[in-house]
Amino acid sequence: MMHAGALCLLLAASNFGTVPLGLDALRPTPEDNPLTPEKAALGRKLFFDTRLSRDNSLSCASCHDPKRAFTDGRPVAVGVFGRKGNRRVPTLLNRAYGKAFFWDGRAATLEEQVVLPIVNEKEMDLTMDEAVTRVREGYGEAFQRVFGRPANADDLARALATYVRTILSGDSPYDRYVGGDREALSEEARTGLRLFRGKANCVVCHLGPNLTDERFHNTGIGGLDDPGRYAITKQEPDRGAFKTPTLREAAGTGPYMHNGSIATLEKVIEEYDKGGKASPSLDPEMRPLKLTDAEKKALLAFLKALSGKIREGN
Amino acid sequence: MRVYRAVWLSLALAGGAAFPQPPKPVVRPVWSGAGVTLLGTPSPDGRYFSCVDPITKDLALRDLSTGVLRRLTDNASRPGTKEFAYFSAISPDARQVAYAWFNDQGYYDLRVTAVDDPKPRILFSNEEAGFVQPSAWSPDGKHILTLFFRKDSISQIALVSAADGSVRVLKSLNWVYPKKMDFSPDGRFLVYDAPAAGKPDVRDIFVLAADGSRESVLDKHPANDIFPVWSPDGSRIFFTSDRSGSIGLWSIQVSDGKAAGGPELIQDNLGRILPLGMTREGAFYYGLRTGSEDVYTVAVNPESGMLVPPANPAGASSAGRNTAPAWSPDGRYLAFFARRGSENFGQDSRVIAIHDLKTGAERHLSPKLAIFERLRWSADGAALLVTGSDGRTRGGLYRVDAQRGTTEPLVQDEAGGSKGMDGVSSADGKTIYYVQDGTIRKLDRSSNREIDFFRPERSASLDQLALSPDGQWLAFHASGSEEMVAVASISGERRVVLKLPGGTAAGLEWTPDSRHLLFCAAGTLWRIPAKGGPAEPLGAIGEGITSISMHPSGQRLAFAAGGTGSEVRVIEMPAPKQQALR
Repeated sequence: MMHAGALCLLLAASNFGTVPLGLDALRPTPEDNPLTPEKAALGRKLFFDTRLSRDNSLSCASCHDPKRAFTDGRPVAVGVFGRKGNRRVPTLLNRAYGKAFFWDGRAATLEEQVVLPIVNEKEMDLTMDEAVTRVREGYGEAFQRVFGRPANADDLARALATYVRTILSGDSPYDRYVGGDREALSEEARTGLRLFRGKANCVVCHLGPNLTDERFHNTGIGGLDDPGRYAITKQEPDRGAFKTPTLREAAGTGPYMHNGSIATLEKVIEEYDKGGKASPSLDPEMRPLKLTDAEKKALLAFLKALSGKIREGN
Repeated sequence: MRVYRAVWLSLALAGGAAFPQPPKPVVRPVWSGAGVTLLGTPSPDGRYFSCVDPITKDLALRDLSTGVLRRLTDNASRPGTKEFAYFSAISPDARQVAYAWFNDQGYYDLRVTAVDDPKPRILFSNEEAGFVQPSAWSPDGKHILTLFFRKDSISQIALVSAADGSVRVLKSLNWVYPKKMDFSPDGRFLVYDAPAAGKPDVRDIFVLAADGSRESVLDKHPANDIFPVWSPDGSRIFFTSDRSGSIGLWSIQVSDGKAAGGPELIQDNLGRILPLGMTREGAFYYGLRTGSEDVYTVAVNPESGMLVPPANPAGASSAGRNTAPAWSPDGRYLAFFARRGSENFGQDSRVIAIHDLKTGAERHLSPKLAIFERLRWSADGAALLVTGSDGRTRGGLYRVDAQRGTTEPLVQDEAGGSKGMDGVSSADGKTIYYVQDGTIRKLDRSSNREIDFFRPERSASLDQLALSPDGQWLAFHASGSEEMVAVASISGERRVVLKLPGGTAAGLEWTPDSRHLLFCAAGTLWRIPAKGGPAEPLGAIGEGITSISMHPSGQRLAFAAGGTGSEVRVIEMPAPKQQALR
């Protein structure tokens, strides 16, 4: 009789390479890091391993909790020894399609991104040498099998990035509606979709299969205490600008905005309706929306229809 | 860089043949004249070309040897229908044609019909998909490589099952779309063009695995590489590029979906071409945009208002590619849309040219707009008003700063429409009149309050808005059940000035004294009293007038004239054969 875990693995392997409804079949990958089931499985183990933190208390999954749509539900990240960051943990859903990583886009690839929390003193607080040593101790054979060599920093990044590329959300009522099922959205959600694309102007940044333009905008949240993208580009228009997050699973990824300053989707809609706080670098697309209460409710119904099926590991 | 013909030379030398002349690609037209459409593909044997019947808008096959057009759909029996065929692609066995069909619900289906016994079959019908464009069939005939342009302004490269219409989206692109896509002959890869990473103004060629597993850039080069077509033997990808300084046809050898050699020039100076496909034997079919449109100025007799020929071209650059002239309020500048760069089809390369009559200098503005339709000056001369749409497919009326080119929407529709809003501003700039959904709207910019200014009794298309110099009257052209020029006073009076039974008026402009309206019809410039009365000819101006603008002095008229057509040509390009050289 087949063990349940083995069955899951078998199913995962047979499903490997497919994507949920609404997502692109092409998951961009670097030429030197193709998607393979073995590498994804190794990356998954590493993702859940607390040995990648200084005090063995946190794994990647501690902050990117699968049960919370790969966020942690807190306003800002909390690392080892209770050290607090200043930004919210972004979801890892559909990062396979990302073009810039972290709220300020300081990493250009997923391979760059996945190891930076390990060496960030406010997060997991290891040196890369320490991380590689720990990985060699725990996963020597697995790395040899997958990469044909002992574990190293680059392969650690490759394995983690490969796993992150398997974290996908799709097949939501919205996807089914766009795919041709006219009954998949309620009438109110359909109204919300029209607002999303029209009067509410959400689609100007939240578009495409992943509902993000992968660009940076100052939406007037949080003042200018956090320079955002400016810290990377040193371009004044980027001051206070942050990467547009996906709206996939929006109902389950609060609190919202880069600093977790808004607790609910209802309040997010209220904030955008006001047009954002004045700022020299406020995105020109930000303006008062003048939504009625019914329109706000419809928009909320639509945002809730972006919750679909989350899958990982294949 | 090597020249393709060098291949022949090397083969000849290897074979020890007498020094042969490399064969020159032979270019010949296969379809020209009125009614040419560039919306289809050649059949694998090169005999037929899928197209749209210019009269009935049916899907049709044109026999390129006899010129006979055979309709595959049946609009002809349904006069008055608003449905029509658009892009199409012939299957590898030439027995079927996949085509886009604008249906009676107001969106595009993907349909398939057999060639021998035409019975249209709806393969895919989804309003959300927006625009659909079949580009090529998989070699086994099981899938149709299709471009969707969705309502939310993304385009999607998709494979649609020819059996059941099921869809597999391979890749999505925000705001932009491939201009050409093709299958590799072994069915393993797709090739398409898209803006290069970080360089929205130039394109690269991308090769995408048909199973979605990988993608790569064919040749990273700063030039604008567009319109890829895979050779029938699978060994090369052909594309057009401006890398030599003019638009030429190039190819790159490929192996396993990757470049296996450097780019080779096939033919340079091809003009404004649109590759359409290749036959089994390697003949390369392409469309060529012919004709030109230019801006001219002609003197006007200040006493009689009559034209005083000759008309002279305006503008220093981009000859043959200029349109939509507009005089500045002080009469010193003439602005118009000009094309530059190597883009052949689409509006990507458009700029606003501003010609200084005093110095003769010409400068260009590149506003952040994707589509340009009409151009006017603001009353204070500080800005230009452009009817068009932005890079996010939002049609509207945009204000472009005349010095810096910065762009801001005055009125704007939601994404997905792309259709601009014809509009004018009042002399004080506080009021905007614009057309939206068949109604002229009046927007008070200070209060942001809007009202319907004019709504026709019967549905009509309204355009050519022109505000009288005294600011009291708004003239416009209406076409619906009948064609007419009408005026509406800002105080409420409405009046039809001219009805045009069976004819059309091009351009609409006021005389500086606000007493007359000018328009073009039947190759003549006409003047008609704004209060109504007989139209008076002011002289021949020529056919193909698209817009006019009267100098504030009333002594010079600028106009855009000309027209563009298309023809289909073929480059006979037999693959090099060792045998032929022995």
